[in-house]
Amino acid sequence: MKKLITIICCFAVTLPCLAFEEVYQTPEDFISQSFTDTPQRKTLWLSGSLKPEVKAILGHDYHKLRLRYWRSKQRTAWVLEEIGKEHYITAGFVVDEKALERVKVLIYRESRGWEVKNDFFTRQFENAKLNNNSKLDKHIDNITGATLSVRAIKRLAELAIHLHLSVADA
Amino acid sequence: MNRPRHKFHSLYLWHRYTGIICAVLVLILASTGLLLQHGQNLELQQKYLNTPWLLNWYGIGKEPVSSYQTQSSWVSQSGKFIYLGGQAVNGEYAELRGAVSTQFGYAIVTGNALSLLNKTGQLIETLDKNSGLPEHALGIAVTEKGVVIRGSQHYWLADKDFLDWEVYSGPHPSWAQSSQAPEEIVSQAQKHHRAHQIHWERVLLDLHSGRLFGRFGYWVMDIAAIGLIVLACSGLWVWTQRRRKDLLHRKK
Repeated sequence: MKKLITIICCFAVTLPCLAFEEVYQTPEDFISQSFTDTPQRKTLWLSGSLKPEVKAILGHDYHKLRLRYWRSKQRTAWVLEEIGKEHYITAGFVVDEKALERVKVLIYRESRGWEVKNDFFTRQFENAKLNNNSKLDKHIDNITGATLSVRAIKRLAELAIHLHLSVADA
Repeated sequence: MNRPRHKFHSLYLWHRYTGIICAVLVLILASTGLLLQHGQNLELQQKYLNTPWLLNWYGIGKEPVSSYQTQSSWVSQSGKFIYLGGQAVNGEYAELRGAVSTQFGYAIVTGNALSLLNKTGQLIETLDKNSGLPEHALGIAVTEKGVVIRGSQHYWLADKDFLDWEVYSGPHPSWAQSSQAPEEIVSQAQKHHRAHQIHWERVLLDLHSGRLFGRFGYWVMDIAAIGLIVLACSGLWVWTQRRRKDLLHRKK
């Protein structure tokens, strides 16, 4: 019995260290829900002048060279990834007429900080735009215990708007 | 009349000899503790151990290398690292199951995903069933029509940009097979893999706790820590007794 309890305790202690991935919504579902008509799928290469701009927003190069996005008139949707503490968080962003319309955490891989998936957090981003310093023009409340995840989502939100603006005239 | 002095003197001797015996261990405890305290600033988790004898001590041997020959270069894997011609690319990858050359670089199947790399090994995009792939990728081949991946139910042909997929219905593809890469490439990959297994924070933690020397080291560091407590307490006691004596002496 003592052995069994020891094993269970050891397992419980190691749980946070195990690989973890929670899919709240697939990117495909997110995209199909974000448009009333069929959007055009396009690609954007993070090269040229865009590369340093992305680095300025994230604080580092984006880990991929090519992004896919979906577009219908002045509305674009992006699926982006950023590291919270140790693992990538995948989030979807819809930008319409230079403002964020919708933010959704799609896949969460960290062991803690998952509160960012809740609507009470993501709703704060609605109608946010970029100010002159390429930062969000709205204050986003932090979540205790999820600071790094909150920061990651904020950086991605700024990136999504910036990318939208860079393709808006195309 | 001699007893209080004897007691006091023997405590002083305890303090002296405990200090001498524990000196080296306390130095190790304190200096590793200081370094660990500033581990983030020193980026200890990003710096890796590359000393052969210490790697041997940790039991870090050579990892097997699996390789696929493409038109451009050998694509290899050792552990979680991918190598192009023996040079590591950024990132960590699941099990390598196939690799082919493409117009922009390479397409490699790792785990169930398809990763597109440019000619210098930078990641262009990773496709999996959640994003862009019609099925889990189990193998890859180059055919006359283009790159084909093997899914569990169908074979899928990619367009030239790997954006769209259609069911492949041509001659049976010749799937990429692993083969033995030249010794130089294998050796480079193994050397790199070995040098990226243990970061310095781990080494300092093991030295700080004594675990670096096995169970024996663990107990020795416990003794050192107890010795430090004895030193602090005996030192304080000796100091208070001395002060008391000095005050008494002055009154007289």
